[in-house]
Amino acid sequence: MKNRLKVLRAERNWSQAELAAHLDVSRQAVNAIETGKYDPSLPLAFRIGRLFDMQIEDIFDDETNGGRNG
Amino acid sequence: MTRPMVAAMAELHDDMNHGDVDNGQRVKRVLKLSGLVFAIVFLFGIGTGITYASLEDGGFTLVRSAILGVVVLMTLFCVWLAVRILNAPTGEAPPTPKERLNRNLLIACGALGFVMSMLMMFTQDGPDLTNGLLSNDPLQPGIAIVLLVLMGVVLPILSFVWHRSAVDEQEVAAYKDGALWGLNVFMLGLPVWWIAWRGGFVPAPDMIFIYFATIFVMGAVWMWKKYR
Repeated sequence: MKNRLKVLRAERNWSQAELAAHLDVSRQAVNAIETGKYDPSLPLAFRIGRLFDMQIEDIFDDETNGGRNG
Repeated sequence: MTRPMVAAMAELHDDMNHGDVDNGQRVKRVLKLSGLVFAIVFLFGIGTGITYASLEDGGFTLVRSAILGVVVLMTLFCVWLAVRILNAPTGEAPPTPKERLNRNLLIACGALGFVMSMLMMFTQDGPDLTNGLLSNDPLQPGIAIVLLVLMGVVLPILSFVWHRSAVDEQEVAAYKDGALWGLNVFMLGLPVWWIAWRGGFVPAPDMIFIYFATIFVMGAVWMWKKYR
């Protein structure tokens, strides 16, 4: 699943480690989500949304839905 | 696109990647360290074999002493290289406390496995380097009790702490995928071997061999899912 996590992180000038600390996950998890190799669980997606003060669908792009948010 | 814009984008790209996880470098590092650990274990085995043989023959000859000296020097060189790789800067940000706990617990489990395998290999009736860990020879009762405590008490406690405090959902998912593949190796591998044995094509199934094959496949898939 495509997402804007890397861009949102860069806008705040956070490293992967800092974002990982905010979300209580490893840098590896942040890296895997950013590169689209791992789709986060719904609770983690909500945590990400709350952290950036955004809706989940504004961060993650459901490609099976024709890239509605892309 | 103008030159300043390209420069600005490149700078942004550098900022975005600063301190990020570099899986390619990580895999290279892990492969180098694994190779060195294998070399250290191999050299340790050669050194122990030479020592046993010399003691059985009544003492060290000049040639055997020289070979043992070279083996010890090579072992020390491998240890030095491994420490150097471990201490080399990676360009990544330092690990979070949870990642550090994760890494330390895995190192502890690996060290425990190493100690157990060495105990198993070198406390039989002489060093059984031909069968090694796959041997079914009897163990001394005292050593067996130590191994049972390590395997049946210490390892489950470390595993519980690891699952409880050191992993996140991405690693849990990777671990579950590995476990599923490992289970399939067991569920399909054992009956295939068993039927082939009953058909007279192969020797009887070896449970320890199947156990290690299961663990190997599980670990390989787990690492691949985590670091790909």
